[in-house]
Amino acid sequence: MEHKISVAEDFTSKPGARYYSDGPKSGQAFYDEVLKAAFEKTLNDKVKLIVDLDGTEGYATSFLDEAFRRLSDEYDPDTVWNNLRLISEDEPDWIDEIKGYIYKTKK
Amino acid sequence: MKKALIPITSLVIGILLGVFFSNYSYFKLDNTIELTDAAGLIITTGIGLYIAMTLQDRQSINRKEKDFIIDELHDLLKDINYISSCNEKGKFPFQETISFFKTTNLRRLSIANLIKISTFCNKIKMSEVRISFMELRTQVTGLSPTDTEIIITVAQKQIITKRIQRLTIALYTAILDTNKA
Repeated sequence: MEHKISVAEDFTSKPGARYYSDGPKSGQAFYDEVLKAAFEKTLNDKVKLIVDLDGTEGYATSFLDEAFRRLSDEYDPDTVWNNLRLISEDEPDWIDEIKGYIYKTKK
Repeated sequence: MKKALIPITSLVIGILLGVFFSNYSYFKLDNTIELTDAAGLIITTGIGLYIAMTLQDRQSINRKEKDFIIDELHDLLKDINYISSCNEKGKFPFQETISFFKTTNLRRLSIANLIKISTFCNKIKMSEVRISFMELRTQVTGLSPTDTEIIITVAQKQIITKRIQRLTIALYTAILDTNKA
């Protein structure tokens, strides 16, 4: 069994940039309001979190980098990657890009 | 009819030359022809016509496929002008730029899929286009916007210019490779 969140449905169809200071619907806001809580729940329930990236008007790399890097900083890269499943049928390249963000070292 | 024009024309010229040489006293030719020779002539002519028409068809399909893919790659090249013009101005409208990159990437993916399923062009590599596109996208959309625009410094403009050039070269290489395929 898996839990699923959709960026377009659970957050916004127009994702913003990196930080709160960059404007509305930032990667930081997505992490704080949606991603972190969803991931914690899936860890407690011992299931995977499915994150559906489709359906938005597009992503800034800063948005995805901020959200998923924060997640890997909070937990650790392997825990995040092994408990995450990304859906990106529109742009499959995002999956490898996000893996790269997760496995980058802390700033 | 158009496809058969060249082989038919060649046949007619051959016959006329044959008549000319047979009437020209310098060439001594028999007035009779063996049945086997006549059959050989007809069969050889038929095979020649068949091969010419089949090859012509294949060449025609080959060219159409290449031209279609090259047109798609040219359209992608034109799309990059939007980024170039924003770069020249020193600013990118944030939401419009994000949407632009998604739309352009969808077009790139569509072309890559077309190449994969094509008969004559399926060996064309699009990996350099993919890599250079993502690098350009990262460079532009990794920057923080001010209000609704990404304002770039001179140094950032130069980096973006290099990324655009790399992508342009990758696209031109794909076009040339497609033409050669």
